[in-house]
Amino acid sequence: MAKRRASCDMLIERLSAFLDGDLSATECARISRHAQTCSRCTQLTAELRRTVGLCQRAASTPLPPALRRRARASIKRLLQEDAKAH
Amino acid sequence: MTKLRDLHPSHSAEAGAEYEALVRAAAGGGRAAMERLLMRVQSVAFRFSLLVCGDPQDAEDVMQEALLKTYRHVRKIEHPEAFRTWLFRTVRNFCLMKRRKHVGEPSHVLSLDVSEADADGRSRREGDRPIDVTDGAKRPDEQALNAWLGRRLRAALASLAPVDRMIVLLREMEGLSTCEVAEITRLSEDNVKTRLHRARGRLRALLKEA
Repeated sequence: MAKRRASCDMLIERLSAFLDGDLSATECARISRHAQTCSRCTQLTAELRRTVGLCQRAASTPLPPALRRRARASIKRLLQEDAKAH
Repeated sequence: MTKLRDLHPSHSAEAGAEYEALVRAAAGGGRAAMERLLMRVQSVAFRFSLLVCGDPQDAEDVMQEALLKTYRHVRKIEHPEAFRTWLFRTVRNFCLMKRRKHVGEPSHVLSLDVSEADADGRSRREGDRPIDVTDGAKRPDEQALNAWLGRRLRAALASLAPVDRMIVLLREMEGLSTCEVAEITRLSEDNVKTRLHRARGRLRALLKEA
């Protein structure tokens, strides 16, 4: 029981580094082995992945339409002014 | 087990290479490339400023400033490979300048610096305030922003210390490497990793609760 808890603590502590690929092959193997046998840690890993996925999806969403129109207009204005100046 | 950096294209070196190619094309006189680059820069600047500092009007000002600065910078750029880091340093500085302009207006003040006060990732400096992520029922602009980024995510990010928000944004949303994030935030790589780990855990818990 105490050994399992220690493995859970190790996973929680190292999960971010593990998912970012910052750990050695040995450490990765240890964490993978534990995650396959511990439902709590499997769930934790899945939740963390979902959280990161949510952030990543938010970053790939284009600007709201009104703001996008203003951004396009600013670019057009800038390029026109620069063309006139040269 | 899949690594996070494999799940999203922006988390690979490809994203940096894509920026570099776009910058080279724009610097070489390609109008379409310049337009694409400037559109992307405005999007990045607005998202960064809104999520880190919280004020939509300030974010739109920062977006405009980033547009002009990028246009001038790209035409005489010497190191296109360093463009992304330059862009986020520039946007961060614009956000800091906004903050300084608001001195005496505590309702807008949000520190971007790391201090002992926010070492636990929660408490803030005197004068700071949590970002208000309005429900959206009253203000159409807030409603649009919540629909854009997701109200739950905005609210969860708003609960982090400003520097941790910045780290999450740069690392998770913009796909920068730990080394690049460390350079922009002026923190050590170890500090960035520690803060990111803690911020991810906090976001996970908050989003689960929601």
